[in-house]
Amino acid sequence: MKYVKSSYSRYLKKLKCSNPNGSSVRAPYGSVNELITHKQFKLVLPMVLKDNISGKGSNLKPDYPCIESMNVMINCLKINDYNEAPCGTEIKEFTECFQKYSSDVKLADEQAKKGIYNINENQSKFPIKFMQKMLKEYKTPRKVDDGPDLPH
Amino acid sequence: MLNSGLLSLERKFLSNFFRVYSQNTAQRPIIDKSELDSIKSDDLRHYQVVEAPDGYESNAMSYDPRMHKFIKILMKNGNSYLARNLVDKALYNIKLKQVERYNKTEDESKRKEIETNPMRIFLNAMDNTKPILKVIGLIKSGISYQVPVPMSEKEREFKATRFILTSSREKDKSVRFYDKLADELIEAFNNQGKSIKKKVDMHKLAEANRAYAHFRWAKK
Repeated sequence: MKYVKSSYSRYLKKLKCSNPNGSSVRAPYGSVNELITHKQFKLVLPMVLKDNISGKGSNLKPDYPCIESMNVMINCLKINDYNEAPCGTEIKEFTECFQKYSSDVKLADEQAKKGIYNINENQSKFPIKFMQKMLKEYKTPRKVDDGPDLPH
Repeated sequence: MLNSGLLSLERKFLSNFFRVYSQNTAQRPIIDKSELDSIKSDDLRHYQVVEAPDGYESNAMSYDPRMHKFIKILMKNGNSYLARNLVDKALYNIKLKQVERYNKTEDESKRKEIETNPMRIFLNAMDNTKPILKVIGLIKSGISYQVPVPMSEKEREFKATRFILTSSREKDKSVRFYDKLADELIEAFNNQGKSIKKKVDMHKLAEANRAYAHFRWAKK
């Protein structure tokens, strides 16, 4: 089933270009009531949200892994004239932190390819691929005012 | 018909020169001996295709994977025999120099501090020259920043070999390479020398630009 543009929408387009009453649409004067009756809302497409989102503007905040331990380590190095012997614990902490982070990212990428996502219950924002998957799985019902089922 | 026959002949000819393993089935050989002992009889790896070991890889006690990688990076034009020889001679030189120093010192307390195992000197020198941070260029809103970033273990190892090799090549040309390498390794073992200085310079650059550290993770 296809949605063809209704005659009403075609008429609206005409109105924008040229007004039959001879006045502009934005600031009508004279017969205001006539115009308003023409502009009554009419449903063209079913008022349902789409089953996908564009991945352009993701508002997920970037997390800064290991930056605190890096600052601690650099401070230690600077105090000791870049001698690594006295600050062995700081260096170890930093390198282990980065190793853990990189291995976690690798694991998450591998699991995302299979379709597995590790997500907390209290999380408010989700990765886009996960959102796409869930939206496809649980589609929004397409029914308008107890009418017939509309196709997706 | 003639063409197709030639092509198949060519393919047969080439297959004798290049070993080709299928990517899914072939496996790297197990070189660590402790890992070999731990494999059970019902392990699947007993029945799978295994690649030939690479170059001088072996189970021998003298073999070290870090040393093997060092030789591979030193090599030029695929001449691995020469590269291996140079490193062996350098290790031999280190042994001679350290034993000489050991015999000349008279205090027994000072004697014990001197390390005479060349392999241990080599590995410790590599550990000392490993940098922790590096700096990468990043353009943001038309301005280029130098952002300090952590490195993977593999990259750190590679940078350390680069520092040692370049600083030993920079030295006097009248001296043999294996002599220079031996000197450089002993210096790096004692936290001195050019290669250590290069590492410290790298850290200083990272310290100067540490205010931009969060740019790495930010959205572009």
